[in-house]
Amino acid sequence: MKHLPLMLTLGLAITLQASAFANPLRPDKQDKIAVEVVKAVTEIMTPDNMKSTGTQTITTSSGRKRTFEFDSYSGNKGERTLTRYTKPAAIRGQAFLTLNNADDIWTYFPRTKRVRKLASHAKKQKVQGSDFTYEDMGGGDVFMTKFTPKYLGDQEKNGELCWTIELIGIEAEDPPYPKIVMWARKSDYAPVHVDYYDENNFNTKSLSLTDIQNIEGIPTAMKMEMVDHQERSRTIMETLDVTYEWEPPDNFFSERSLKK
Amino acid sequence: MREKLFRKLADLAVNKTKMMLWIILGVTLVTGALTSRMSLTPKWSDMLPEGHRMTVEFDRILKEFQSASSIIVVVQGEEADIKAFADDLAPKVLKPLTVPGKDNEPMVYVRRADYKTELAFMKEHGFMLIKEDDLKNMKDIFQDPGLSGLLTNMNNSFEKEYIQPDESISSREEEDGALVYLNGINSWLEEMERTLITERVNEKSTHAAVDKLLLGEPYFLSYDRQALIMNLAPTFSMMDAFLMVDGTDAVQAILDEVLEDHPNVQAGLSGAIPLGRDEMVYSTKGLEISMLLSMIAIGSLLYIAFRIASAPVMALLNLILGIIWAAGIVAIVVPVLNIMTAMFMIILIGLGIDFSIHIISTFSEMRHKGLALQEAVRTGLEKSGGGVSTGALTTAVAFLALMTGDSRAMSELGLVTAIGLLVIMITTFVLLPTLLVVRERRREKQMIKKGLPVQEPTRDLTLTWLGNAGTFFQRRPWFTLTGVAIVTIFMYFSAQRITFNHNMMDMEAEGLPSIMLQDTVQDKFDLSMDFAYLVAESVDQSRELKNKAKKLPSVASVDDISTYLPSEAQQERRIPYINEIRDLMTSAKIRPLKNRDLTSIRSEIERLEMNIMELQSLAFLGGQDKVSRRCDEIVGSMEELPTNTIFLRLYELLDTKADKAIDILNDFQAGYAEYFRTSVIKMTNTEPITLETLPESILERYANKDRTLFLSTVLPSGNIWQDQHFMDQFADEVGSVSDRSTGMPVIMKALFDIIGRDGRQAALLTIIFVYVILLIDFRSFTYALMAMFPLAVGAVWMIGLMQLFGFQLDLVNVMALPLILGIGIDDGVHVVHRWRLEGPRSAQIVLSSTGKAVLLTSLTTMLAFGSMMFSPWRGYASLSYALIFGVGACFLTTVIILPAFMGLVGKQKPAAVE
Repeated sequence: MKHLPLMLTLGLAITLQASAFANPLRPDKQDKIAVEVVKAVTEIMTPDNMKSTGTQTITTSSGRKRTFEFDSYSGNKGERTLTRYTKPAAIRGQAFLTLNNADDIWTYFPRTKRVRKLASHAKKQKVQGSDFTYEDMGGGDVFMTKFTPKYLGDQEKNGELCWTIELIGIEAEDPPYPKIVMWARKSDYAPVHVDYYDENNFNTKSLSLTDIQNIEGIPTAMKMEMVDHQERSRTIMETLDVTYEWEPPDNFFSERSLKK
Repeated sequence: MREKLFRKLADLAVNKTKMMLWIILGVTLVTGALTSRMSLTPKWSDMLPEGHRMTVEFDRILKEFQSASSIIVVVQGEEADIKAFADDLAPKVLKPLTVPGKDNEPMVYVRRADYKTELAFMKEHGFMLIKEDDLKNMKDIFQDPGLSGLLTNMNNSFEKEYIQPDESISSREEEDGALVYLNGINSWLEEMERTLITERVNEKSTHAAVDKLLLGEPYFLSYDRQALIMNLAPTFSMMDAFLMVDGTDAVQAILDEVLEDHPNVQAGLSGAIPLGRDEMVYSTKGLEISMLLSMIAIGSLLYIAFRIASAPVMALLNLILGIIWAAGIVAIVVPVLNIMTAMFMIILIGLGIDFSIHIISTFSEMRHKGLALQEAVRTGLEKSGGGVSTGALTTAVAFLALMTGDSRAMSELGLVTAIGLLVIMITTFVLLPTLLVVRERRREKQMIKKGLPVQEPTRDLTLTWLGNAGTFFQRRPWFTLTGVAIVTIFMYFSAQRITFNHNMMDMEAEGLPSIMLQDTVQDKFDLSMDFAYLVAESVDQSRELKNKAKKLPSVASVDDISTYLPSEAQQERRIPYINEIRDLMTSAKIRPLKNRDLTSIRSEIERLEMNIMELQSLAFLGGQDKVSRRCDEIVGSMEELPTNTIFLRLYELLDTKADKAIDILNDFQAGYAEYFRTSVIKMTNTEPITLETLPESILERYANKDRTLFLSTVLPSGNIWQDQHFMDQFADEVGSVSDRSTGMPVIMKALFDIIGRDGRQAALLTIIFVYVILLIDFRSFTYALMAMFPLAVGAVWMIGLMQLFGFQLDLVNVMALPLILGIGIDDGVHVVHRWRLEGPRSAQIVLSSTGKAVLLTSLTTMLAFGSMMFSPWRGYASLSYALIFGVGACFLTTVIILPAFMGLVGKQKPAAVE
């Protein structure tokens, strides 16, 4: 799944006023741009299949940094994912399988050789001490189905000229966040920054996507940093190797693969 | 007019010497008696503006809630040793105690010693304090207290953890909950092991294991169980400064006594009261050391400079009497000094001695020139009195400018120092000439007796090399000023890089146990002792504040009465689940174990081990260090094969004692199961918990005497001293919950803000006031500006030098900035005064004569402030360094820049100078 699907859930609220952006376009034109950008971002973030190796650095409850290395796979536009930890030795072989856009989550413990199912509500919880939730990591077209996009104008972000899109959660669709503000490069629609907001319009988390490289025609952020402003913690995910030209074998996203 | 007054004073000193001495003695006795009114407060909140809401609220909390003035005993060692120590200390500390080194009657200083949870209350009402979700989750455990059933139900509950809401261990609170559960299981398994080894049941320890399983650890232990906290509720509050010192010393004495019987235990005192006591004792000690050292150093310097044995005696006597007069008057105006205002005596030593130096210097010069006594006294006062009075006035005005600030730290320091300076100036004009006359007459008598000439031998007392240096700069004004400009630009950029140290712990004395133990508490208990307080007027309001505060990003946890007193609605909602648990437990049958049960018991123990291993993996991945480490201790490290875990030992015992294992386990079951059942049934008491039914020990912790106010303690989620932004965030966020928030982080944030603002305002006003005074004194815009110019450059050099030498600004030494404006101006004033008297291009005479006095006064001021370097309280030491840099820089800029001006003005406008 790599990190792309988490882009899908970029839902956020924002304190920024639309008027703060230079946006002389007519409302219908603005909506058209917003829909177009969100569609393009979704396409970038949900490739058909993907296989990658990456690292994840978290801050533990006693303030230490801990880095994990993992192999990650996603299929069916991120609807299915499998992540297997390879380092450190203490958790080598521990794996997580998500199906149905993280509605179903299983985990495998190599030490006890047991597979356990996590509850569907767990997708709203943080993934292994990181500042990403299972839902952030899930795939699909959440942006398009659970949010109403609004084009706020053009703005420079991380040194790139970007579309600024506000996504307002559609209550009936149970969006992961009430609001998201996303900045996507005008040159290739690659998202470079995402702010997540809670129901009080408080910017709870921010995601920065940097070192964007063109991998097999898809702009790919090789480094992502999620900052949780409430917990005052940050998680850095770095991609060491990635390919989109990988075809999952039959029944790859299954309990059997989980145990391998 | 000023000259007339000086002549009158000189005449009085010469002609009415005895009368003057009697008057001086009388004033000294009266003011000396007044100084007994003076006292010291160690509270940082007392530096905030008078009537500031945080000070008022903090004082109210100290007055209303005795729990806010706590003495914390931090005990370290092995679990069993520290528990035994606490059990031993608790009753002894409640008895009347004596203060070491004092003959006072023994007195009760501690009302209550809290080091265990409210076990009795929890046993009665335990389930009413548990949330509905948790009750729902845990009810399955209470279906069967039998060994096999309990193990199975524990495992089911463990596995359910993953699928139930609100059961993740992602937050600190939930991590703590997981630890309590793990510790309980571990104790119960260890009890099972002990029974298997000894083949007999120990009722007391079995019941304790059940209590731990149901209610958690009773002692206030750290996460690693190597430290224990005992909270002593004193019979006095922080407001009673003297009791604070005596009480802490008395408790420390009994602690030391008990420690002798527990050689494997270390213990010390921390918390608000011991910290306040240390601050008071060490800052007072620091001031005493500084005063003594500065007197000795200044006396020695004066002796070297004047080569007259009586010069330092006269100067110091004048100073001491001046300080007594000043302290007496200050005691009326500001009877309670805070940590900052307590410094005024050191400042007075540093600045007050200067007045004597100038007068003695000129008087000696005149005597060595052959002037008669009365003429020498007159000329001494006339030549130096102007500079002294203007200097004293400008410095006093600079200090008075501090009064425009809101903070008491600055405004009171400004007031008391200004009063002190003016009083010492008066003693210098009244007492010093009298002392000089007495000394001269005695010397004359001795000379006549010895048949030696009365007249002082003509001697040049000037400092020629300084005069030469002045001439050098005077001859090369542009070269000198260009050099000064280059250095100043460099210093300016250096000053720009100086940083601010917000860590107030760096102000405290190094190695203080009360401070070091704060770090121990932070490390071992993950608990900051720098918390904020919120006060509510009802339990409901307290609950509401708690719920709001808990959601704040910078808040780790909130401790308030609602933990023990859920709302009526919450209690109502819990009752059905509690009843269900009671029904389950009442109807549960404790079935004797049979041989065939051994296999299932063994497999359930294995399942329990696997569940803990899986929890361990998730905790490791989730960065939950405390849970992960505890799991390591219970099931072994994830990276190595376990060799000696409770599970491996149980398997071995079950294997080696296979033939009688079931009998022993039956005994174990008989030993705990019934107690487990009755304990659970007792805990299912659904009698509503009300304020009236809460035990006194809980009420005292959270409520005031009238039970009309309720205290919440808000703990920050990080170290407030290591990250200034975090301290600001914490203070702001807590402030957003209630405008009556207070406590150390909130107060310090306010103090930083207010002192920063006051400092800027005071500095600006000082510059304006000083300029106006100089304008009146010199009646010339140019001379007033010229006298101030070295000060402006000196101030830049001061900060630049501090940065270059690796110093930071802090809450205490930042006061040096406005102070130096008042202190540093004197150098320029004296040199310009003398320059105007001596005429154009007079650098040689001005610097060799007045320059010598300026050098001496700068050195004495530096010695006085430098003596604070040896103060154990590091706040004073930091101020000392800043002022040494400041005074040194102002001296250098004065003796370099002003001769260059003399060169320029002398060349261009000789008439103006005349």
